[in-house]
Amino acid sequence: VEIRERADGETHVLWIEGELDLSTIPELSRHIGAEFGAGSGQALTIDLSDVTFMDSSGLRLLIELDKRAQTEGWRLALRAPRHEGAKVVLRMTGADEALPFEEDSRP
Amino acid sequence: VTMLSEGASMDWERFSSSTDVAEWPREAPDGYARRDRGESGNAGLRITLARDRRAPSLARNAVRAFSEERELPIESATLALLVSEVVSNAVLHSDAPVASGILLCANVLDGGGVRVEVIDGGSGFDATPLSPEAGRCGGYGLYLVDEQASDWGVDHEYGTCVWFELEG
Repeated sequence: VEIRERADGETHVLWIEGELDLSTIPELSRHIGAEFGAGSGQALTIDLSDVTFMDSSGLRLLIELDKRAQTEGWRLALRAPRHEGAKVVLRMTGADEALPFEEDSRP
Repeated sequence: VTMLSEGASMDWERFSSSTDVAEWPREAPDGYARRDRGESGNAGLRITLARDRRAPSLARNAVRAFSEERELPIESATLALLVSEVVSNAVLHSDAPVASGILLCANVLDGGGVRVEVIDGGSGFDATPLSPEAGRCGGYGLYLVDEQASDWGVDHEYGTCVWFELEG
């Protein structure tokens, strides 16, 4: 998996390419880590458009991040994957509707 | 957990301490080995994987290649997802020794579907699928298997075998 970070004004953008599963989730967790603290007022966008595969380990991380964002009061936005291998788990679980995907990118 | 016969447990010892395909006894796991010889005469897929975090990815690649080679009329994204979930469960939730392997089998069903079996040395876990809302570790994976597979189950005839079938 390849992960790149960039700042877009107040928004921190994480771009991920490759497969999100048991072997690559720890790396993504490290990138997100403690950067987003309570009351930081920051926003995080996770760009999943080039993720080619995702299973429930990736979904679990997104769900936990969404909860954290709500509790800690920062904004999380997701850019949906383009690849079927990553979209399928989001559709099957209803996460495509429940998680904060940017409107123009719903899986 | 089913008690293993003496012969089987000796083979099991070899399997569970080995991650090398060459060391896997070819005829030992009766019940699983039998399914390798389908009506079509096509040999099934059978590989051993080290029980670590790379196992789901290796398993997906192997089953994907198997399915493509046989041109199975199966939704490949769904197949890859279910394989990933079941193998991830075997990596995370098995109580088998960490150094032990995972045996992955895939066979073509008569109707053109596929049966996948993931076998490890552990005594298994609570196989009740949880809805994602329940949020307990391991629950999401079996929820997906339960939702998507045409049939699935857990056998303890030889270690722990979590299997599922996907129709074409």
